[in-house]
Amino acid sequence: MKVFIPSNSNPWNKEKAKLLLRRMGFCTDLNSINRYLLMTPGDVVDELLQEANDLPPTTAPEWAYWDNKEFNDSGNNKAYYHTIWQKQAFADFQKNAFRERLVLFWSNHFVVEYLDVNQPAYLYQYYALLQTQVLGNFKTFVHQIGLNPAMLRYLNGYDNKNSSPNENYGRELYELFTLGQGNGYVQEDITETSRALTGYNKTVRYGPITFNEKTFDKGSKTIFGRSGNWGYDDVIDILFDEKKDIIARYICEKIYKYFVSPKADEAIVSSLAATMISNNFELAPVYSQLFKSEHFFDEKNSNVLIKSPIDLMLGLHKTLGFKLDDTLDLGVQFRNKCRDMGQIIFSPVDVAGWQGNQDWINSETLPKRWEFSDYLLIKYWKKNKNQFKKLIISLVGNKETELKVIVNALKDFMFCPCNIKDVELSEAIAVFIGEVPENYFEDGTWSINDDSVPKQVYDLMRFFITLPEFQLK
Amino acid sequence: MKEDSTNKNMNKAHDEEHAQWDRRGFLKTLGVAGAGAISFGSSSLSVVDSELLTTALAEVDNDRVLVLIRLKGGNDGLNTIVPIYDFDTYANKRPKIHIPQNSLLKLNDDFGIPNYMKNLDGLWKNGAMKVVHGVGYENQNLSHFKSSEIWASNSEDSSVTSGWMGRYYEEKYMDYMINPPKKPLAIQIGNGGNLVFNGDLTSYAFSVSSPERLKKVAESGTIFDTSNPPASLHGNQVSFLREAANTTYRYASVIHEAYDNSKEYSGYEDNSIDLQLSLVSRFIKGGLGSKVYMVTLNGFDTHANQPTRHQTLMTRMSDSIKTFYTDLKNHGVDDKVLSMTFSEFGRRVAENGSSGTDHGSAAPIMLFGPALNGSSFVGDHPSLSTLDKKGNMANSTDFRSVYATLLTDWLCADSDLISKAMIGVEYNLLGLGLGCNGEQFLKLTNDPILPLHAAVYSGNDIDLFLNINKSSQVEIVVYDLLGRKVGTVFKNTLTSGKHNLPLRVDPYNKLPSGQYFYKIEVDASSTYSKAFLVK
Repeated sequence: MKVFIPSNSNPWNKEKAKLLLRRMGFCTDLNSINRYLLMTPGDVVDELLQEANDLPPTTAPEWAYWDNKEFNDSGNNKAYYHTIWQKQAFADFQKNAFRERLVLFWSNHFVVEYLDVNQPAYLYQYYALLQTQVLGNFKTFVHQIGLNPAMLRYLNGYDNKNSSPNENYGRELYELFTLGQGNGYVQEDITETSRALTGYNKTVRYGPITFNEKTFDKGSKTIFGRSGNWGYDDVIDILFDEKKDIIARYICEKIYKYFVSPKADEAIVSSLAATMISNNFELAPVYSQLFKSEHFFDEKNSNVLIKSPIDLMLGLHKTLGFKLDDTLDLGVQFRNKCRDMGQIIFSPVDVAGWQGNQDWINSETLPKRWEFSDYLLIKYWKKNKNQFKKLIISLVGNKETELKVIVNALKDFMFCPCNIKDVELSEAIAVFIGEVPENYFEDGTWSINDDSVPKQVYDLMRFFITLPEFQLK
Repeated sequence: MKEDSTNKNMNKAHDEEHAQWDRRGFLKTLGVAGAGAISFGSSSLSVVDSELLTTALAEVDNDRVLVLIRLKGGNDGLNTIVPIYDFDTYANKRPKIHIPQNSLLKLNDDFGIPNYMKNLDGLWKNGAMKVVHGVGYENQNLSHFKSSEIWASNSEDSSVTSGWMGRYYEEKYMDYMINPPKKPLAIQIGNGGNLVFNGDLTSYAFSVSSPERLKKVAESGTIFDTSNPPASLHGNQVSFLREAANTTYRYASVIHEAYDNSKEYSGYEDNSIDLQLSLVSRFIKGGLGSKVYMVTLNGFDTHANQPTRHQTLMTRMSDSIKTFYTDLKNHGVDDKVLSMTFSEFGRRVAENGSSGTDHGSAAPIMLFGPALNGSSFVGDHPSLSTLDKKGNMANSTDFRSVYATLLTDWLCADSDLISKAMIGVEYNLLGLGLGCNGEQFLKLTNDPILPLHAAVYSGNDIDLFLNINKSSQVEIVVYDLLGRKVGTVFKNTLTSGKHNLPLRVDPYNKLPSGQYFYKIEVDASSTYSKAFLVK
């Protein structure tokens, strides 16, 4: 895979830096972009990876390991704690970049739905596991996720006993988590695997879930043609011994489709998969190779992903870097608004996760996307109108008077590089002129330092967010 | 999922948020619906046929149209309607820029228009033009922005962010958000930033900042052009999103239909105001049914070189008004269309040093249309010698009186709605020669509660008032802005007669502030719904 080396014909520029941050993080403000432009793209990727790697996990709440009784005695119901943690996730998304982007990605791979799990401490432990594993080893990740109490509850590993086997987890382990539907396994493998996974059924009041010899199926099992008295560890070992290539391809394709384009490029996926295998399923080398590649920065892959609700809200918020009222509980706002647009954090639509892309858009969610983007703009406006003026001046300087230049600069800043239609551009200019008498622009009365400018920029932003292209990243 | 107290608290915060933020932003853009955004889940509100109110009202005055012509920048009234009766004072204060007597076309002995506005002469002679003198307000604000806001909102109070037409519509179409009319109530071209059509909940106009874009919409029936997408994955995604957006916007197709149903009149010139009026005319002729249009002519801020610039603008305006009415007359609808010019202020009586004029105060408003039943001047011309400290004239007619007169005698609104649109400001009705013939009353039908149900404020709380014809089983459910059920307010038998039922889900607590909808179901068959706001 060719590494991206900037050249005169293919330079490292604002557009590429923004693309990288939109995909690896949740967008970033102008200052950070300007800083990244002083570095090489490879160094930026390394810095983002390092940053993600060095981040300590989010501080555990006091209830991180509570059991049901402790929750019941606390005076608050479970929804209270669930909400705290959903808000925490949004706070982390806001603060951090790549690690949290990965947490979001992997929470949509190793799916649990918190209402089904119904134990806030499990939700925390699941989150903590994601934070520590998303940059680690995929095999270890798979091993640990199956023992995580949230997952044991969600996919019934907890109910999977020698006396009454439950195939739910065994099936999804192959179908969704590692191999892909019908890809390299048969029903017998699931049945046998499920037997090997039994025993994780012991808990007191939904505290820790531990292994119980007595409910473990001690008989011989045959998985992928290999027979023995297999247990949990063996299942993971056999799976990664026997199905290396399938796993690597399946996972790398999923990573590719999430981070690059909904249309997988076979050659790129293959070479990522090769990297994954040669690095014994370490994830960091795969990410690093992908984000440093020429292919990643290829123009044809820019602007082809439809923003998820979280992308939309966080992206706008972090791109503008504007202040809003301190008393506003932004965590609740993000949580609720993303929910209303179809993305409830820690509760994807089903075990297969949000399918994303065009699934996000319909005539109910699209107006909400406009409304909620607008909501943020209104909040910034109410907090401080001059933020809007400052931004435009930082984009075009304080002497610019050419309408087209100003409107295009804001367009390029808010959108991924794309051409909007002429008739929309002329409307954008009309919106920007707004209430200012037109002759002000002809006779030099108007200046970008004028008191009318905050409103002009604000109105233009409100127009831009309604353009269909704004939904792309 | 069980609704527990935490969720309730969160919902409460959520709802309070809704009350605080104004939804206009995205709603205003192009008439994308409140309703489009609202899904009623399993409830059948979206198919409820309670258009009764909107339909009934829309049918009453459906052949009358008001066209507001905004002269943006501050039109110089003295060089538009020239005061011949005090010509010396006028000419002395404006040695360089006054219109000489021999270049004037006399409308009567006291007032004339510059020769270059000759195309208005025909309308004047045919009794289709009125001029209201000295329109303005006390303590004229000389900022374009603030004064435009005052003209639109009717108030000097910045916290009023609704416009006069918006408030009128808000009162008239109380169920607009859930039951938007099939046609846009109003169409605004140019300057989306203007408040005229803003209500507290939404904007009632289909608004487009450039006439070219409106033309595209009219031609294609879509908001977003989907032609020639780039042949790439990006192009596919853009097409997908553009099409999704097009199906979301409501009015593009009806606008297109009206446009298609009508023919272009060849008399229009190739300029912005002609394009705007030609579009308005096609919508009227094509039977769109929108009642109010606002068009904008830009460039009136004539601080310098006024004579040439003002001449160009007024010539263009006069020509296009004439063309517009000729066009409408050919089609036999000129008597249904009333037009009015307005501007944020007039200009200083005395000229400045750059052959121009600075920001002023009172100025004439011009009205056009055969419906005026005779041409005349209304009110008194303000004195050119008794001026305020800045050298500006005092207004002789408050602009709100003009609005109130249009609402009363042209749009035939009832007085209650008008006082809400005017937000309590005192007004006098002007004799503009218009009238309503008492045709605005609702017809009662056999429906059990029609049309009498409304959310009414009682102190701090809000009640549902309803009048029911016969004893029935009634269920009243409240939904939030996003169509989620908040709870049941009432479920029992109601005797015939009038009732006031508190709109409360919890008998001990009022609803958190925000916008809601109530749904009344009578005998599990008829359903009625309307939006209400808890303050």
